[in-house]
Amino acid sequence: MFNTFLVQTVKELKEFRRDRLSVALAFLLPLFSLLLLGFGIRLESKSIPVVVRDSDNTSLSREYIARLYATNMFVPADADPKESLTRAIDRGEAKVAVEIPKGFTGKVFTGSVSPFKVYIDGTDISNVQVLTNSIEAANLYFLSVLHQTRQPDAQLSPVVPETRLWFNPGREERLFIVPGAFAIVLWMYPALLAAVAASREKEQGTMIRVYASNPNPLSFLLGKAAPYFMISLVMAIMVMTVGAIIFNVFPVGDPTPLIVSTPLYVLVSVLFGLMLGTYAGSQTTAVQATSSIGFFPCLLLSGFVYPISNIPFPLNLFAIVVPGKYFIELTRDAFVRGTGWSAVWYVPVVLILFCIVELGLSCMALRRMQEKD
Amino acid sequence: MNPIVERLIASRLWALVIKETREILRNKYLLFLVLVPPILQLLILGGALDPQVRNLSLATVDHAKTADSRELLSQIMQSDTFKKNQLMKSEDALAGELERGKKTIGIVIPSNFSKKLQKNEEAQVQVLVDGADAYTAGIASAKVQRTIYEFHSAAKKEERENKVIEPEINILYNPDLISSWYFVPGVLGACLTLTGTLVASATVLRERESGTMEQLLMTPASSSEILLAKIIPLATFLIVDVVVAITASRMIFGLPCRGSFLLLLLASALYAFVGIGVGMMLGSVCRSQRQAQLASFFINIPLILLSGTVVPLDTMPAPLQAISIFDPLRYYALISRGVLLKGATLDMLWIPLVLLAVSALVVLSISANRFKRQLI
Repeated sequence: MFNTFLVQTVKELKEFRRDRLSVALAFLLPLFSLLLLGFGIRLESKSIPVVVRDSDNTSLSREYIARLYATNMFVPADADPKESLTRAIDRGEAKVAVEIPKGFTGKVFTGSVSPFKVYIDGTDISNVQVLTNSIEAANLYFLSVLHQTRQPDAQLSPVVPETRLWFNPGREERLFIVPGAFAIVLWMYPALLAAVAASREKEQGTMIRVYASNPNPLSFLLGKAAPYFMISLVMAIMVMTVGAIIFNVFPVGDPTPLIVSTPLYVLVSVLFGLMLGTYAGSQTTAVQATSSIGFFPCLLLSGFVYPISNIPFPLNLFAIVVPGKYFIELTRDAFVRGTGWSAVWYVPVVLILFCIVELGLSCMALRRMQEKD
Repeated sequence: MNPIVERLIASRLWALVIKETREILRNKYLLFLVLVPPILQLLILGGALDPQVRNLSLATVDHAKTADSRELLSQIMQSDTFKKNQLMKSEDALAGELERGKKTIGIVIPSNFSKKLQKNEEAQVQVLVDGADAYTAGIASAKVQRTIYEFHSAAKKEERENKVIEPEINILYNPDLISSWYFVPGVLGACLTLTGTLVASATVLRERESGTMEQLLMTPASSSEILLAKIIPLATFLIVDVVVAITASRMIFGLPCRGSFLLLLLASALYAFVGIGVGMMLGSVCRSQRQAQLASFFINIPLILLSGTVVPLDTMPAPLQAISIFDPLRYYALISRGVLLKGATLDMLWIPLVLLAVSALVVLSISANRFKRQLI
């Protein structure tokens, strides 16, 4: 039994090695994707183009506008403020438009409420919350400064928050993105390699021959998975090492959860690819399935970029079956928080469950193949 | 009948188009994968994802236990940023919750909180933030800090100064911030890319692998006719995808189409050509399907990430934003969001439309060229 397993592994590895381009891609692609995800994804808005029309044009209104720019979030847009403000947003030249009406200063000094209009481009909704927050914060700050210049003795605010950011004091986004990127990369490529390998064998009709020479579907599947599991482990070590060096992201605290879960996660991924490969009739369908069932859900429903805690009930079931979600919780703990087992004990358990389910489904597919032929 | 139309119908091209269409239709599984998962995905993602930070959990230790401290906490809970507030007994328990990643923010109110407020001294409140999720942490802590700064004890409420300046914020195009309106036009483009390249490269390579390409070449059809015949049915399927996806999102999410639907279809057709062209190019460069499929990720992932369809583009570092100028998906997303949400017209969108057409032409002529050379 062990012998056939070993023979199968060696056969798979040899087959993989023969295709030089695929070998190169198997190692270059994960690195390339890691760099792209690690450098490319940032959520904090900077240099948002804004168009300002100051119809009041007093020192106060100018000061107010300067205050908005001081949030370091806005840059003047390349648009003519004399034209309609919303038109600049229509054309995509500006994301925010601010209009300070005539009589703005007068109202401030008489003490009546002085409104001014802000227009925000709502097409890109991920920005809206940050923009609203920072405009309101800038407004509040301006008001408190204004208040203080009028009444120097007055207390600015009776309660003062003393904020401490844990785990990531500089609120650096790379610490948030890079551990997540590990999970994305190690989900996509092991699955892809396994899916292509399994479906190619099926397409060429050799799958049934190999399967027929093997008494047990489970040992057949494991023998098929083993070489890709090994390749993917090398991939995992490489990706994490390069990530550590380039992005300066190192494991903190107890490394054992990471050491235990990474092989499990990679195995879940390989088995996922294998499962799709055994179901699909051709390489194209296998890859199409891996990329459409695997890629987007993992990128978007794993909590990698957007929060998943706010997905409402029936739909959050879709997020529960994304293995990346659990591994991201683990990597964020291993690389940022460093709490260890007490926070992430459930991750290896869930990953093992995924493995069992995938093996079961693949066995079913194999049995079906057997009956058909 | 018009002689040109007549010639077109009787032409070899038409016969080849029919052959290719039949070939696609025969592979039911692939057909299913081209049509169903992208649309399902679009609907699930559109319904589920919400890039706004809300419904977070909060843990508090209230040592003061006075009306003031309760008022402060209830003011913090008022916005929809936080959903649950769990009262903890000690700072240690609260720290544990943060360390396990269960809570985003912890607040500690000291026992002398109300006394200090009454004496007009500065009262301090400790805010502990889990910074592991940097983006959520930023929004959540900004919200808490602002509420705390604005807080005036219940007794002194009347002294509270009027806010003399009030920004009146209007959110255009998507005032209710429905996330599907943001995701559907973008993810649609990304799906077109993935599907187009994969299927196109496969059809070329399958023909090569099975050796029927030479047979096709022996027929009187010219190589550009063979190529076009492969492209047309695929592009048609992709456009059907777009129409179904937009209609479904319209019914389910109320996604508006404020501009001209024809303009959107035109852009989708152009973009489908780009996706297919990229696939054909891969098909002519690579030797096997496996190589082509792996290589397609080299092109597709940057294409999708740098386009602003799934992750925001404005926030990217400047060098990557500069590279994104060459990303046709960026222009497609600009057009689809523009037409659907902004009601943009041709005079606003002609530049991205031309750029899209140019990239379709470039990709297709490169692959046609390579294709021809290989055939000889």
